[in-house]
Amino acid sequence: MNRALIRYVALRLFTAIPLLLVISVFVFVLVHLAPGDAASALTGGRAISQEAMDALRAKYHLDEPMVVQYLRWLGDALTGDFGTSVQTRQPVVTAVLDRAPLSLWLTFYAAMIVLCAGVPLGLAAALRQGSRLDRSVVTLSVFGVSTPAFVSGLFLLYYLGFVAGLFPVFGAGRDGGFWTRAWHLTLPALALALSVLAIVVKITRAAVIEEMEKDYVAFARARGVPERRIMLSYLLRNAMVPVVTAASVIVVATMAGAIYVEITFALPGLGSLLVDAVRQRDIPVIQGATLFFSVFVILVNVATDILYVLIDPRIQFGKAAR
Amino acid sequence: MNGPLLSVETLSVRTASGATLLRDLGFSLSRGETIGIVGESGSGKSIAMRAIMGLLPAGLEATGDVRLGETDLLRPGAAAAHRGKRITMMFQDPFTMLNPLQTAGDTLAEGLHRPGADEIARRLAEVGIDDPAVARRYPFELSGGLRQRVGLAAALANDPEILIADEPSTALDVTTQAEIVDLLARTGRERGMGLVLITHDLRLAFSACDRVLVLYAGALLEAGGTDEIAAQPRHPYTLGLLLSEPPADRRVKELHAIPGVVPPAESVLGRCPFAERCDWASTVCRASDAVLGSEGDAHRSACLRQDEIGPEMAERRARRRAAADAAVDRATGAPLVRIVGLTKSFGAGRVLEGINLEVYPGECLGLVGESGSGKSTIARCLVGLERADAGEITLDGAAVADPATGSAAALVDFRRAVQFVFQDPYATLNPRHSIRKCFDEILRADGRPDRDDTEKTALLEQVGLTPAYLDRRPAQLSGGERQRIAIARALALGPRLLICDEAVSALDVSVQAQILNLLKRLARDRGLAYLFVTHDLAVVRQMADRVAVLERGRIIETGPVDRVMDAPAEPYTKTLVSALPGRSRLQSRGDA
Amino acid sequence: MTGQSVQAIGGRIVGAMSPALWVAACCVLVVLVCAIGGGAVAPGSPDMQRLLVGDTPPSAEFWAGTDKLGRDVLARTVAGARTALIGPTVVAAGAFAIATVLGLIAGYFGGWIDNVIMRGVDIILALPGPLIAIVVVGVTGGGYWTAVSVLIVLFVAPDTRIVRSAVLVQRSQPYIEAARIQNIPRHRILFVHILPNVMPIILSYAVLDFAFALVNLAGLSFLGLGVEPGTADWGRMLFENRNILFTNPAALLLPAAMIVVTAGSINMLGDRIREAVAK
Repeated sequence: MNRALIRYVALRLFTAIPLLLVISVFVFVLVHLAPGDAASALTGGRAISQEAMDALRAKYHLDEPMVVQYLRWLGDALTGDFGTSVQTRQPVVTAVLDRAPLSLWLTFYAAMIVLCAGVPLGLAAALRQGSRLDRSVVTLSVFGVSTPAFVSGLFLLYYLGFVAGLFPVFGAGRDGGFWTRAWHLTLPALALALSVLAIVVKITRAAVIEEMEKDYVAFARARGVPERRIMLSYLLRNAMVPVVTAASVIVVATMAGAIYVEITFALPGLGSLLVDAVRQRDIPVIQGATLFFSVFVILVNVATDILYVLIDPRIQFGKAAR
Repeated sequence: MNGPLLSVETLSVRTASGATLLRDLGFSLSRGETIGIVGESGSGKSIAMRAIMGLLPAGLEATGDVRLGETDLLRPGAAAAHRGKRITMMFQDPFTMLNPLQTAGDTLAEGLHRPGADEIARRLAEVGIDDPAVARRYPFELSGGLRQRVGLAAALANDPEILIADEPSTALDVTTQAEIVDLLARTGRERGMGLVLITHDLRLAFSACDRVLVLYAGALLEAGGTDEIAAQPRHPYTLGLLLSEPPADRRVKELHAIPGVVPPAESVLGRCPFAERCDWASTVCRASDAVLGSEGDAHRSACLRQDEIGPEMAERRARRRAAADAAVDRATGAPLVRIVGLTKSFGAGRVLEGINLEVYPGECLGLVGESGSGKSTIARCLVGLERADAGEITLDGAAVADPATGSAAALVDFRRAVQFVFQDPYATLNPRHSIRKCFDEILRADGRPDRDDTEKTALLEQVGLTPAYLDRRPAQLSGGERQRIAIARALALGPRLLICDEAVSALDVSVQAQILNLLKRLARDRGLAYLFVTHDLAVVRQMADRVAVLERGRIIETGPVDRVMDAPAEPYTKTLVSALPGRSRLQSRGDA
Repeated sequence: MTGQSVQAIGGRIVGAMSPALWVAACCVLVVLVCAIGGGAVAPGSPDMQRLLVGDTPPSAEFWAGTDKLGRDVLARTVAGARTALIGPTVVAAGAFAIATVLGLIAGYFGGWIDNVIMRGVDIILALPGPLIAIVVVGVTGGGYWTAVSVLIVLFVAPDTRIVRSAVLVQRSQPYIEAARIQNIPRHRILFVHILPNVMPIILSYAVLDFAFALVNLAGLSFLGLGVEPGTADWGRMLFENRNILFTNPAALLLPAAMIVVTAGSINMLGDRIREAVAK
């Protein structure tokens, strides 16, 4: 079993490589996607000295064929060299690593809220199907799914932050300790969690309802298995399979939400780094940040696939690699 | 303890909107007794048992008096308190009955007082599983028979006094079916439990039960000891059910079919539920309710005219017993269709290994085997629904190659000669198209547009339906009617060979007999040949001239049906034949 | 999930509609009227600037106050209904038109062509979609229609998967197999048998696509990347008014609420349609 699992993990990581390559091609092509020639794209359209321009052309090998440019760029990227920001002259890696912790903090905080609230809410709604609790959970989840993080962020910011004054409306609490940080990041994390939470509630509820109809649940009841055990070992455990299947959707939604939340709350995370770079056409930073996000998403997807295998013994390791 | 374990009186089940599904059911169950509850789909047999268990689906409500010893089981929460400990139930489908994420051992341990490895092994041994490693397996790693055994062990974990088994063998292969039913009966006896066996199969009930209750359209029509009912059924429905079962030991010219379909329980309140389909029905049957209550264990029938028509019923039974027919060996001359060396794999698994088979003009070749034997795959490869890996198919001696890869023209001609009838009547017709549209499409594609409906009407007539059916949609038809339409559709291209892939196995017995008779008539009238794919040897006995037995992708025995079934040469064929439900006991009781 | 008539499904949708669903339907209707009526429905010009007035809180004259340039927030919100509906409609229709063709081909024919299509779908699905949208629209200097096109490409992937699996369900149905055996031409099987039976599923998911596209387009505009500057658009209003949240909150909260109400109502109706189809 363990051996098979290790082999599966290796295989799954291996199948992620082509995907990473596709993303790297996409990121590389960005330079050429921008209006004007590559060199001016790399300067963000600003006039720079001839020497600087020459240095840039040499750095990005712009005079060589596209394929060579890509391979050289990829080689540099693999050694951690994504160039320097056009704006700040800071190495891209430094900028990304500098901003990443805040984004990770925010994402994990939100993920905790989503898991701790979403699964129990979905379960409770399903168990009392048709009740007032169920109906309100369903309606809220429909509107939650339709509420982008920047909208919920604005409402939270205005009502809980400004009107009620419960939470700070500015800053990430970077200089404070754990609790200061948590306090500063609560509103952003809530805003981020809300729409994702709705997805999780929806999937959990639907899955539990489907499980309740299953023969094995009726058979368990007929055998006198206690309701508590039916709820945990039968309904919830089986319902987790579709939830985990949807994990990649959830991860992507969380990540995209994080970008918007950082803008809404003016938090200096990876998302605002990316959006600032996009607004200023700071191509090297865009490339670095995009790659970082993508690798993160792919790794989380690999992790959820493994989790999936652990939850459901039916999945044969070889076949689950989609 | 004296008195019955379970006594049920005036048990009714209604939907939220008030429609009756089951009415006034009454029976009792004693320690060590096995009773069979027999009925076709819609009879209310499963609903009744779920009501007793307190496991009715949401929206259904049970009323009446259900007593487990002193306890009223219909009181809210009462059934839940006793489930597993005193009364338990197992379901039909072993593939959906066990939690897929739990090992067999974990499932078993849920009900045990001292769940240890030894105890689990002992419990598994009780249901005939001697390999303790099974405890560590997940359901998906077990065969259907093993799952059903694990299910039984789990149901018995808490040592209940009553076990209700809902069609415990229906989803299993023939050979496993007999084992499971025997196991249930033996376990019930050894433990002194009360056992309730729900089944659609009267013969199975006769072979395993002490008493039998016959349910129809939500009402109890006949009840009594197995021997009495088997010897002389006193309700026309029971007789009809008995006669429509195709006998496995010999061939009859025509099966007895009950006309029409089972009505919904709600539509037959206040009269004899069977009146519409009964040959002996009179005005009194349509005017007064004829349903059994719950008085004692004697042999009783709800039929209002049972005394008048008794002799006629007995005579019909005797006539049927005498009627016999012989299979004809038509395997002479040049074969119509010949399969040579058909081989097919799915992934790593070989399903067909060099199949050689001939079907001669006008003959019916039965193709029998258990699930996974590859019998459907042969049929599907033949018409190109599945692509074979290797092999040759010839029609009238001309190679069609593999129909899936053959040239378009050859394929079109081949399909004019060879047509197909599917198993599931509910999915066999496009739900959006009226019957007219369905037929028109085929005739037009065949270059024979039928503007004045003559062709379509003729097709309907051939399958015993009126032209009024042309404008109906599948949703308005019963399962039997849909299967008739499917046969008519297959006949539209004027085939010489009809492949029937389990074409009657999804139908109720009474309807199955209608369709089998129709197929026999078509064979006589049109000289149609059949490749009859089925798991049911009794059906094969009625239909086939020759039979080919398939085991794990190989044909192990071929020959005239009487020879193969009466004197099988291969051990596997012997197992199949001897596993026919209730074979030995039935014959000793002199059944039809 | 096998085929059923559109009328029957329609009956199930309208029959026993809860009050919440009626409210949702009314909301969609109001937004639709705003989008079609535009200036005729708005209480005033959405573009007239009153620089001397600047941003003001709600008043009798301007029910939702004014933005920094003194423009009427309520009028701009009404006018914003147009971009809020047009883009998502194009995305949902475009994505499903392409996905239906791809899904039918992949599902019915199978084999290598199925493999090619589905590997492409897998790759797009494994990408962080919203991020790609931001980057592509941003780098290309985008605008509304670029954003719409990028979303179509991103939505085609999951939609193709949905169509394909619905086609696969149909394809293995005996009535489709019967049609194949009965020499019914392939195009008839595809368009007369399979397509009508998967259409309800396609339509119900297209409605959900619409709501999702609305939120995504608004998001891009909120980052300043979607619609052109100056356009009256809900997302763009959030971007332009982001600094006056504490002086005239209505300038942000009103368009923000409109995004949620519109997308939420459509999602609710879409869920209802999907349930009716699944029955």
